[in-house]
Amino acid sequence: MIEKIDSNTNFKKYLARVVSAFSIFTLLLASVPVSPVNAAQLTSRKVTISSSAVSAANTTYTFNFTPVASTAIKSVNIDFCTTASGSCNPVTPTGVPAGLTTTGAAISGTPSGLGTGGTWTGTFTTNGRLRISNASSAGTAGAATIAFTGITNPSTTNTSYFMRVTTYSDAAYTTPIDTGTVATSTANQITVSASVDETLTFCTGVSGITTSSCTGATGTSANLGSLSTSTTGSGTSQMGVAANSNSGYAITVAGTTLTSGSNTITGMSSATTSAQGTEQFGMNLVANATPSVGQAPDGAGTATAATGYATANNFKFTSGDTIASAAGADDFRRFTVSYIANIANATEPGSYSTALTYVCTAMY
Amino acid sequence: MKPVRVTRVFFGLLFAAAGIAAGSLPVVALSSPNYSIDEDFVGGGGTVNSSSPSFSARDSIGAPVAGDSESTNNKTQSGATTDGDPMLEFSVNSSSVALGSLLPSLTRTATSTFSVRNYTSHGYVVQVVGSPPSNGSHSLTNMATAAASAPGTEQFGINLVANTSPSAFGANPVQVPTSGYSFGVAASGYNTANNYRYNSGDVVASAPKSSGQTDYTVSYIANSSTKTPAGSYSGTQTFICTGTY
Repeated sequence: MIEKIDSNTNFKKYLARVVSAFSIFTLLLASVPVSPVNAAQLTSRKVTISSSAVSAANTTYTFNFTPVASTAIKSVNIDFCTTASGSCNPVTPTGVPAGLTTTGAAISGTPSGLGTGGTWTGTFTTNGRLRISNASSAGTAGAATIAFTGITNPSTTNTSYFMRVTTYSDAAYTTPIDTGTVATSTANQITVSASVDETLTFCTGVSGITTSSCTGATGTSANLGSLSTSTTGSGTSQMGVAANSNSGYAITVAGTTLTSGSNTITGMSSATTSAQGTEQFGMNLVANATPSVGQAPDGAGTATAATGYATANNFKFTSGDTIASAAGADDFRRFTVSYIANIANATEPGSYSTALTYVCTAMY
Repeated sequence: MKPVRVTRVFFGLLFAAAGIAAGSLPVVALSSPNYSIDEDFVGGGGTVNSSSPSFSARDSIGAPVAGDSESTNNKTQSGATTDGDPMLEFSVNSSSVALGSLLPSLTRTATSTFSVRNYTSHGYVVQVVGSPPSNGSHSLTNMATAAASAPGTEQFGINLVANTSPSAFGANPVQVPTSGYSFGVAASGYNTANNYRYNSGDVVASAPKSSGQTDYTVSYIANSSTKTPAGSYSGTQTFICTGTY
C-alpha cells in the first residue's frame, strides 16, 4: 500500500498509525523467541588434574561446577577439545588433544550435587568423551563434583586443552540444561637433582677427640702401668668416627695381645670380668666400675659398641673382632676404649706392649 | 510541509526492530532472569567480524581505558575486546634443575621458571606435587614449615621470591605487561625472602581474579648434613595450574 500524503492533518494521522503498527510489531517480536535459546552457563567451574605431566597415565580429573538451573541432572557429557569453542567432535574425531586417552576412564567416588537417588554409570567408549548418566537422579542440583580416574594426559607439553561440559535433564544426553568450558594445561615436569659425595671421618688417639671432632686428637700410646697379681692395670684410648655410608660402618681391631719378647699375657677370648691373679688382656667400649675406667660412647651419632665389647665390667680381646658399628649413615660418634690387664704369679717379668690397629670400613 | 513517503519510515523502523531482535546491531549489555549477554562493548571499540568462504577476520580497535571489576556472582573486563572463552596458558620453562654436590658446610641453590596467563576466569592456583630429591630409600628432608637455610642440617625447600640468603638469587613474580593487568602472587609460605618450604600438594602461587601473564621464578635450596647418605639424588616436581571460570 503506497499513498501520497498531501496535507499535514492526514500526515499526522498516518504517521500515528505507522508508529502504532511498529510498536505492536516490536512487542510481538519481543514475545517470540528470535533464536534458539542456548543452555545457561555453568558457574564456578574448574577442572583439577592430579598431574600436568605429558602422557601421564591414570591421571585423575575432578570437575567442579555450579548449575544455573536447579533441575535434577540425569546425564553429563564432557568433551576434551583443543579449543574452547568451535569445531570439536570426539566421535569424528575432530579437535581432540593428541595423545589423550579417556577410554580407560572410570568414575572416582560418587558424583555429588547433580541430584539425589539412583546410581551413576559411565560410558567411556569414545576417546575424548566422558559420559555419565543416572535415570533415577531427582531432586535439586547444586554445586557439583565429578571425578574420573584412568585418563592419560595429552602428549604435547605446556599446551592448554579444554573440556566442554554439558548437563542434561534426561539420561539420553538429548535435553541440555547448562553448559560450560574449563581449561587446563600440560606442563614440563622438573627433575631436581643433587649429589652427595662419600665421606668418612675416622681418627684415633689417647685424648683430644671431642664429641664432634677429630681435630684435637693426640697420643698414640696407653700405659696400663706396673702390673701385679693384686692390681688391675687399666688405660684408655679414643676413636672418633662419622660416615655418610648408607649401609653404615664397622670398626675392627687387629693386633696381638700384650707381648714381651716371647712372653705374652693371655688375651680374653670371651667377654668376662676382670680377675686379679689371672693373666688377662681385654678391652671394651663402655663405662666400667670394676675397674673404674672408660666412658660410654657419646656424640650426635648413634653407633654402638659391638657384642662382647658393650657390657660394663666385661672385657674381651680377639684380633679381628668388630668392636663397634653403625647400621646406616651416622653423625660423629666418640668411643672410649678401656683396656685392662691382669697377671698371674707365673707371668714372666718384663715390659709388655702391643700395637693395635683399628680399621673402619664403611659400606656405601 | 513537504510530502514524505511514510512507507520508508515504516519499513525503516521495521528493519530496525528486526535488527535489534536478531542481535545484528551493537547493543548495550543486558540481562534478565532468563537472558544475559556475556560480553559486549560500548563506544567505538568492539569486534568486527568479516568472513568469506576462505577467510575470516575478527578485528577490534583499542579502548581508552581498561580494568576489571568483580563481585561474587559477576565479573567485567573493560578494555579492548577479549574472547569470552576460558583461556589458560601455563608454561613450565625448565625440565631439570641441578643443585650440584651437597656439602654440610654449604647451601646449594638453583632456579627454574614458569608462566601463567589466565583470562576470563575468577583466578587460578598453582600447586607443586612431587617428592623431594631421593637416593634409594633416603629422601632429603623437606622443609615442612617456612624457615631459613641452615647449612649442616638436611633441608630441601623452595620459594617464589627474590632472596639474599644464602646468596642473591631468585626473583619476585613479574607482572606482564604491568601490575594493572596481571595479578599473580606467590602463596603464603613461599612468599617470604630467605625462607623456604616444600610440601607436596601445596599451593605455591595464585591470582585472585582474571589475570594477564605472570612470570614466576622458583628458587630451590638444598643442604646436607654429615649423615646425609652419599649418592645421587633426584626428584620430580610437577606444577599444576587450576583456573576457575
